[in-house]
Amino acid sequence: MKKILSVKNVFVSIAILISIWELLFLSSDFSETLFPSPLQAWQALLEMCGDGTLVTNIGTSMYRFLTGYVSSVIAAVFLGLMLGRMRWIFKYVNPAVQLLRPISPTAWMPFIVLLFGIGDIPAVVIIFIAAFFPVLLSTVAAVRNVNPIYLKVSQNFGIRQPGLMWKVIFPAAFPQIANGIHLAIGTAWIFLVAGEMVGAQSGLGYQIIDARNNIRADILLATILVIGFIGLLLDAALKLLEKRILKAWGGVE
Amino acid sequence: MAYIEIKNAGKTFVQGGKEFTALEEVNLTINKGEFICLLGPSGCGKSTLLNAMAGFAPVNYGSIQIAGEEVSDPSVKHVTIFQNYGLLPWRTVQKNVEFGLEAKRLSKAERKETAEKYIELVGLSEFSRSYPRQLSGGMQQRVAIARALAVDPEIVFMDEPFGALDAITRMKLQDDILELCRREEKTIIFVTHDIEEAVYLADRVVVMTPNPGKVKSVVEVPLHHYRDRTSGDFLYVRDKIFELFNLKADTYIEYNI
Repeated sequence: MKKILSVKNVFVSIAILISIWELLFLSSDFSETLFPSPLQAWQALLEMCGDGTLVTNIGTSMYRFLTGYVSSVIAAVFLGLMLGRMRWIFKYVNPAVQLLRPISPTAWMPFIVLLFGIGDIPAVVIIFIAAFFPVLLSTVAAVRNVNPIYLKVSQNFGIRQPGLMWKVIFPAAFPQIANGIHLAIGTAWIFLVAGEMVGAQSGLGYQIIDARNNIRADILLATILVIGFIGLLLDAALKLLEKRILKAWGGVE
Repeated sequence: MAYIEIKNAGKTFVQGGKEFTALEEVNLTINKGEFICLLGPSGCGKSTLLNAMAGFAPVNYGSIQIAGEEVSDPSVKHVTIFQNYGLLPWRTVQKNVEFGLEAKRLSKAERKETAEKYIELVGLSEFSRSYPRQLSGGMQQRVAIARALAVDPEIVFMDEPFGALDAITRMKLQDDILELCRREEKTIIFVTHDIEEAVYLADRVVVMTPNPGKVKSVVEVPLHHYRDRTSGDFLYVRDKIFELFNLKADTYIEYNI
């Protein structure tokens, strides 16, 4: 099996990134407090690990992220499977979806904060919105692309709903649905930070705002790196899960 | 007694605002246990007729009755085998054969046992845990045949089932299908555009012509069940069908002066 990210590639790539950062640090005129070096950021990271704030904030953020993302994926796949089959209903739903889809989830933020106050809910809702539309639309398209011969065979053997959906349509559409789910995890993770910067008093996004308020650019940059790293891990974990399912269903090698 | 009765059956489609006749005035009766080949070039309506009999797209003129009942929907009693097999790629061979049995009231053990029996019948027991993509085209079509026979249908419809296979595999499967169907006493309706295949398999060949699709002639094949592709009788029947399609060169006398 070919791994998409080999350990060697990851190390070299990150080393190059850090070298560029170091070079910029050495050649710029900003004060150290505003533009810290990689080493200072690393020390800030160790400091956060030491006093437990990092672990707490990662925990809070992951809880919000998983709640929003998982519920969004379940809702969107379920609705998508239905709407993919009911073409004429989708004709009426689609314009509304196309109207809502281009709105940045952050645009909903002030409204959500007004309704629910500051806390977990705004971040969860924003992640839900961010993941919902890509998954919904890819599921609808996937259901429509199901090879009609599978439906003919099912009809011939008298396979009816809900068996038809679960045994035939969902597995047949799965590779394309997985594509949407995969795209959505990146988008949702991006919007987690936005959500927490505006609507929360905890989590990784809030930690960035907090670091700015205390003029701790080292903490700020360390947090940014942590966010990137978790995003990378989430993506890799999802890829692994996808492969497992596809393999179990006899899809690709 | 006629088992399948087709009376004045016709089918039209509307395509780009224009009406298009796919099938016109078909009259045909088929007896139980017969092996019928629908033979003709593309566009002659042979698949349209098959789909109408199988209930996927009923005719809009005339009537098609099976065992005295008008055909309106597909039924598990009349199973269709398709050219591209229609196997579910996320299921193993075993699970694909079990698929047809899932709508029947059977226990898990009975389902498994029945599937195993038919997988053995088509000679694929050692591949029961393989996925379709791991099998050759001929083997995949055997799985489809096992899946169809497993539900014990009265009629098996076959829509150019061997069209995607190479010539040698095709001949092997023709022998297999003949033997299986005689043993299981099924009525077979088999669509093909291969004249030899039709003569080799059928009790009667329904010769169809296009524009609009209709039945030109029904040719009895007075050969016994185990046929020889090179025998004189075989070639005689084949020639008769060649003539019907105007494919035979006019005999002419060559003069040597």
